[in-house]
Amino acid sequence: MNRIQMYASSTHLKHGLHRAIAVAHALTSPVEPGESVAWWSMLDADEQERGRLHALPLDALAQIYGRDGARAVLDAGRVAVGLPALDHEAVQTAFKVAIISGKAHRAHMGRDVYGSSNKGLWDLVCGDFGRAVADRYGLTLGDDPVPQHESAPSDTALDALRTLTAFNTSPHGDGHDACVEWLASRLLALGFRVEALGHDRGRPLVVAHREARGLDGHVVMYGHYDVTPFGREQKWTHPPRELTVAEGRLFARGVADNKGPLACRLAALAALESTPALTWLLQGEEETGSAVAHALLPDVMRDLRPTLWLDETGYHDHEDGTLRLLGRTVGRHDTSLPPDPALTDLLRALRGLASRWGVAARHECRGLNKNVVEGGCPFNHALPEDARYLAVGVNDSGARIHGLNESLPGWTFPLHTAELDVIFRWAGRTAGGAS
Amino acid sequence: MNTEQARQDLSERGVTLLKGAVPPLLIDALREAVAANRAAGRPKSRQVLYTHGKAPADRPPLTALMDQWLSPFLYEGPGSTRAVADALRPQAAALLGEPGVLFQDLLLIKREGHKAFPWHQDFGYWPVDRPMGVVLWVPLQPSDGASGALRFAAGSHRLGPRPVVDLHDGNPQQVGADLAFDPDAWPSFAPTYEAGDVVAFTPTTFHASPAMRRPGERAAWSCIFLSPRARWSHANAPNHPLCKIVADGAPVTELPHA
Repeated sequence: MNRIQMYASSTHLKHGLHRAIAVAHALTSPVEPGESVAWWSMLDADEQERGRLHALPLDALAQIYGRDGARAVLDAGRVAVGLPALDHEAVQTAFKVAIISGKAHRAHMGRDVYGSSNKGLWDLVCGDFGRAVADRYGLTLGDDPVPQHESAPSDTALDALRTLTAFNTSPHGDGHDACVEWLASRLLALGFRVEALGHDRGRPLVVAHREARGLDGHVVMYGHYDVTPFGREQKWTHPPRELTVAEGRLFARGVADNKGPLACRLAALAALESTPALTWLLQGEEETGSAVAHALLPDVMRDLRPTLWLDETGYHDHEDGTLRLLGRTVGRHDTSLPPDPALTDLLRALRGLASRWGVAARHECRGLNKNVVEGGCPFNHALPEDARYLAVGVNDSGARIHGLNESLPGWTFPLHTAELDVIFRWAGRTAGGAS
Repeated sequence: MNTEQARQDLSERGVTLLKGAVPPLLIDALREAVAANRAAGRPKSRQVLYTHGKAPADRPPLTALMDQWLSPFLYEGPGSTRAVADALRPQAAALLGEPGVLFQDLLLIKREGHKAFPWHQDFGYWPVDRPMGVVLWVPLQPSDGASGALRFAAGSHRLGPRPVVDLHDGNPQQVGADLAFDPDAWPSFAPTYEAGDVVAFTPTTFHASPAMRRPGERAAWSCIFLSPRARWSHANAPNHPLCKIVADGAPVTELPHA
């Protein structure tokens, strides 16, 4: 949240004023299944799109900050992070000074007056709130907005995905062993201890573990490196056996299920300095019955008591990017119970983060639907009762998993990297018992 | 939910839940039909329907997934479901917007250990030329995901007819066919049902049934009403038993008692 923390320009002020109300709204709105939550829905109709894009001018923001509804949201957000309510009269006065000074600046080049007046407004609204949010959730939650057209995978993620999609890990492919070898080398380089189990039974299950780096807690992640058959290759618009980047999307067989999420997480772990203890379970038979994983995962997972179980990916609505937050507490017989207060807090933070990319968020109390296939998902079926479960990731509903022209949106990669940062910090705080 | 809302729901989401739409007397009649057919040892369906080819040799019988009596409305006497199906005609007609043709029904028992039904559409298993109709699924006990109750990919009917799948593994029966269905691309609709609820869905709404993980068993009944504008089409499900009986291209009509 460096922009809310640190005033540097009038653009930062406007971004900070947007982010403050967006984060306050995300942290305090109810978390109930089904309804999309977007902070800009509290604005008048003609303000909503500019609000979503963090593009409202200062005078419009002054009006919004003067409304009872917005004041209540801002105050609730401050209380949620342990701060007193705002002095709204002082805020309105600061807005007036900033607006008048801005006009003076444009008319008379009045530099000093302009700068100090903006700083006064910044300090009132963004200063302590930004610091408190950053202390609690990390810097990324309140940071500057990210226009979707400027949001794209890092070179590290693209390189990893290019390599992964080149391994033929389809059911009768010959690339499984090489893929496992490459994954192990990458994980070792990231500091993981790596085992490949079940060679004698089928495609190996990779079990990787890394000790904590600066944060308490433990997150278990799941994924798989096998893919479905290539299908009628001549009907693909882009070749299915190699990565193609076109029109903001990434095309190849398995890019959405599950090599893209895998590459994104590998690159994120290379970029994030602080993490809790991590365990990563990667199987190679997700598309062919998961025999090895069904046999071994229950034993591997039995003694794990992580802060969070993170599934292989998650989804956005492809129409407008709305983030689906699949969060649940696992009940008996793999039923889905509402998230506990700690997980609810994480869901709130994640929807606040999504607003940086201008997308709404919707909670769904369930796991991924892949669970309902022959034999079910071995990861989900081995989850212990009371497990905290989350499915969040880079996929969208236009990915055409298992079909022709399987693809992923590119803009979700930086968002998911930021999500992992928020998740890891939340795990650290939750496991550490901080309020 | 009133009829107009239900129709709209069916049109927009491909599925709608009608709470308590079947009265207890009819639920009792369906339970009695299950008991009667079991007592009479009526033969259950033995094999998953491979409408577009022969069953692979390594596939277990349908009884690995569930116990099923096919079209018990055609039975005479105890075990027949015709009276219940007839009682639901007005509701089916209201959902279809026209009187429906009773095509087939199923009594379905899922016992502990029965496996999951993968995501599929029903239309590809029917020798019918257009997906105009409604399926009514009625649990005879309270049912949820852990007891294998149906769940739906809401809105997936908009994909239109997709290749028919092998119900043992969820892959298309036709080699090389592109199913292009991602269940997580659609909002999930997975209600917890009470006995007597009806979930109505279109022939192209993708749905699935998880494995039965509760002890004991649970029963359900489903019936299908087609639009009278539909015609028999052998090409849509060449191996369906009805292809030996009905005339290809003729308007769909109800079958007489067995």
